Amino acid sequence: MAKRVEIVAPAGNLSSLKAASESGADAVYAGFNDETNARNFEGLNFTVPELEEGRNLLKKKGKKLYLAINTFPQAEGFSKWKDAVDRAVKISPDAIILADTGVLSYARSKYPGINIHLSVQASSSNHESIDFYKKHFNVKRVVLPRVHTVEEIKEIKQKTDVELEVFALGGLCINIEGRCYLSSYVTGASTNTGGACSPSRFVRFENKDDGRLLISLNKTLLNELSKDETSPYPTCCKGRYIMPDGRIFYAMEDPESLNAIPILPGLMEAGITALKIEGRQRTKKYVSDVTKVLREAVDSYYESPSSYEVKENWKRVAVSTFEGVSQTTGAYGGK
Amino acid sequence: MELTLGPVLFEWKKQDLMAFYEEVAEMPVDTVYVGEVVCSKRRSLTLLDMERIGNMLKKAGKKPVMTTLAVVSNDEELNFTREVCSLPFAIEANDASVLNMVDVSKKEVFAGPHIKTYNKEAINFFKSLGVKRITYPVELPKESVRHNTEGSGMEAEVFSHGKLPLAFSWQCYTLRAHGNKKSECARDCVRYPDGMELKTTANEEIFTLNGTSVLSAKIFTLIENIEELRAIGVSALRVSPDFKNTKATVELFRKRLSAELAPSEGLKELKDIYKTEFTNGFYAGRPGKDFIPQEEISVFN
Repeated sequence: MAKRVEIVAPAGNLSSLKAASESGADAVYAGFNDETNARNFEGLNFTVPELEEGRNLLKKKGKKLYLAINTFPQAEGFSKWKDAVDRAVKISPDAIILADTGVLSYARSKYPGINIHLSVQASSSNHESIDFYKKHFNVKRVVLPRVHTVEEIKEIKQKTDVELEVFALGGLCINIEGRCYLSSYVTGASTNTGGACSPSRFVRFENKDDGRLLISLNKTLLNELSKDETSPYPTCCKGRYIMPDGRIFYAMEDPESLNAIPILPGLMEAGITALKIEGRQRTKKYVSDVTKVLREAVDSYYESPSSYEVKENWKRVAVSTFEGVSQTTGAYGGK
Repeated sequence: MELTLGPVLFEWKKQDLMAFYEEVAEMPVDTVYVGEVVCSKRRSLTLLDMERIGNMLKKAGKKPVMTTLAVVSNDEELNFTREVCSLPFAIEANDASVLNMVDVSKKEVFAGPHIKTYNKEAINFFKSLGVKRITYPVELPKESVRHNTEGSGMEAEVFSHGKLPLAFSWQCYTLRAHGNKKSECARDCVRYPDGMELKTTANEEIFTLNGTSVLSAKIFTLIENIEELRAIGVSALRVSPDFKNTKATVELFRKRLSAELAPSEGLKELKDIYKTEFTNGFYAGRPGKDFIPQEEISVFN
């Protein structure tokens, strides 16, 4: 029997890591508490002893730990990323997740034996690119950016033996990861450079007397919500803008989050190795709830692939930070 | 230091594009990037057109470089990219797939702005592959440009003028604005030769939608920074074309390069052409939307 699809859950701290493990995750991904990883939010992420504790805990349960060092160092800052790789290797996780070519070069030449996963931030979206990273850095797995239909993922898998990991649940990047500078255009900090898109220190919510809520990012107004409207975490791609014809419109993306559960069988049959849950910045309850639902969905598929059906309680799981935000299958469902 | 003309990032009518490149043959630029970066559904330039334009530019004494898609997500896009790579010119890789498909020992390869070369270690790796030139990501600040370029032994190009390419998607934003999906493409973007400009509801000019890509609404310019870019060792400055002002812009950059105009004079003349405010925040290590006066940028020196 083919190997079962792995569920990779996020953890921003030890209690989320435990929650993920108890809720049915096969692997947990995490990062250091600095800008070396793409979820560098304040008060989030791990110290070395915490990661060691997390690794032991997961190991006991037969689960894996992946460590993300997936941002892009600049100038003298490079030594910090080298140090992060060195620290990560000492912790001995099951894989480290890297994005930058310079960091990949360093890690592969210094530690020929370690497992490397290519981060979604490397924007590797076709089999030739995947082959490039395999050839030069012997990556074991690639996390695909959220730009493919299920059919396209299948095509890629037919031409590569590198493992593919895809996002199943959580926040949705509408632009290809790693090649998006919207956040740094407005704030000066982006996922690539600062380790966070739309960092919370730049977000302002302002309640107006008429009930409107104004949401701005570094003084750029991203949205005006009426009393009965909601919005996901404010990012440039989920803002509402004035179009050339004068309409006010969600020009890039409706306020929505990714939920691939309705099309899970297609994704799994496309030959992916792992399903990833976005959200290291989210609460322990989120991690626990969404991991449980994905576990249940994946298990129910294996019990009876032909009669897979989305259950009512799976639909109610909150994949967004904000209630009332709709769910989408993104590019998976068709372009 | 070279002056280069970036690829046309917008969809222009075929006759407009052909007329544009005839004009480019007469412009004071050294290198010209030709080809589609944004969307594989655009077909204003066939491979044959690209080859013709390349040959015409060569004849006019320019160096033509074919460029490639920033997002290659399926076999159709990969095949198109492979065909572009087979044209008899140097190639700009905007995706790692190109570096895998081209034999660098037989063809000159540049790593484009979407390859994301943020540091010297990445440059060294690309150098070991035989890559001839890298263009930095648009958000790279001056300090990193300096650190990466000095003593690197690699030709370095800097995006120096134009609306900044900020993001690429699988989804077509122009079609979305018209209530359609990418699979229903009717080449709506040809109606927006400089893209669809977005404002915030507080009337701030912010982004430009252009097919499957997002650019800045404002124009980024380093017209005042040419002397220091040269001193750092940058090999080439890239001007990104727009529909009306490309010729005037490259002529102005040429005057700045030959020191016919002082930095402030260059900026003043540029303002006369565009009648708008500019940005340079990325270069100053600040938010990209900002314009930072030169005296504040030099604080970073």
